[in-house]
Amino acid sequence: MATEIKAHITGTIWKIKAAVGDSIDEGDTLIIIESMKMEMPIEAQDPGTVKEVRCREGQPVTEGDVLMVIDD
Amino acid sequence: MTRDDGRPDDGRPDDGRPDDDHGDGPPLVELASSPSTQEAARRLFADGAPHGALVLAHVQTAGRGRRGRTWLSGPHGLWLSMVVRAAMPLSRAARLPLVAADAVVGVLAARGVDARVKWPNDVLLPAATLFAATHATGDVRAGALADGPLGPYRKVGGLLLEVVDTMRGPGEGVALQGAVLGLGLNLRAPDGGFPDELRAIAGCLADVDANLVGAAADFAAVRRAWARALGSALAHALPADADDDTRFAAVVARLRRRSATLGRRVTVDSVVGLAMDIDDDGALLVRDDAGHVHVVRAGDVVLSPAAGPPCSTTRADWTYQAAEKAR
Repeated sequence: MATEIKAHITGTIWKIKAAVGDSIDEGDTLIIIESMKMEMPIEAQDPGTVKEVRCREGQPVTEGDVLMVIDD
Repeated sequence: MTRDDGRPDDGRPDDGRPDDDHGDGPPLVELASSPSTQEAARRLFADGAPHGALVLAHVQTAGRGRRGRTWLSGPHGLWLSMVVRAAMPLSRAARLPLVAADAVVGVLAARGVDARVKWPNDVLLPAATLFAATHATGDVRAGALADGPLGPYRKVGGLLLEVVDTMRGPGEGVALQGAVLGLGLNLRAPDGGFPDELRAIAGCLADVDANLVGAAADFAAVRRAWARALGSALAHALPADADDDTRFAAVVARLRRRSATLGRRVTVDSVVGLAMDIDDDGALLVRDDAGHVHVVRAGDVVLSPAAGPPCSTTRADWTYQAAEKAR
């Protein structure tokens, strides 16, 4: 089953820490978003494999945007 | 220089135990040297330290600023991180960096320092306030007061908030649970002055008034006093000033008055225009040359050396695109 990883907050993608094909564990940091100089990591809720990365570093995003898709 | 316990400072990290001269306030851990006070504060957070707990380092060996950038952290400054425990939606938590800047400039103002804020939370000093004691004699370093990359300002401090704990709420909402707030403040210039590449960018409190940082023999105590004052102000302001709309409106009003950004031409990533206002949620509003207003929530704000043209346009006149982002 695929899980969409969404932006928790409106801001800019500062760092993408997982690439397509990477195996991830629960709690791994996938992406760090910056908003008003607050850095907020988005962590994996479950283990899986990165299927798609739908953002790029430096890209502005809005809360709710799909940033990554994980195959559970 | 000695450690808190009076032992000679051998440059090695302290054992991280809180000092015991703080009464009933949050603990302050003072380290002779630390790779990063942010990392030390993360460990304090994980160990259950209360809101407002502080880590103060005399030197950081791997100090970092925004986006992992290196921060010059020698023994001349105040390198401080604070544990923030706050339960609020992340959208509201994004106000915290501005609240922190307001608290810091408030502490500086109470000591007679006319600090300004470059959005969202860089702390600047007007160059004209530096070296006041030597203005009359003209004994000022060449170029020390000239406009630089920050226009007529010099950066004296910066803040960085890193979220360390969140909780998924009902639905897809995410709430902040905890963060670490880092503050770097140049109390004095480094021995030999700031590096050439920073001379037209960086400033320090000692250049406003040497009495602010005390004599060399008192520096450790002065630094600790600054840490206590700033930590106390930050612990009181966060998270309350962000969580209450009325209090945050007052924060924004103060930041508008003390802004080094508003009224200037700025570049924020791909957006170039006039910094018009800070909105009710703390975002920077930039009007580009086509008249569109961009709502900026992240990005590097680069000030043009010169102030922007006179602003005769009122907010109501703008081609206001509230949902527009700086794409």
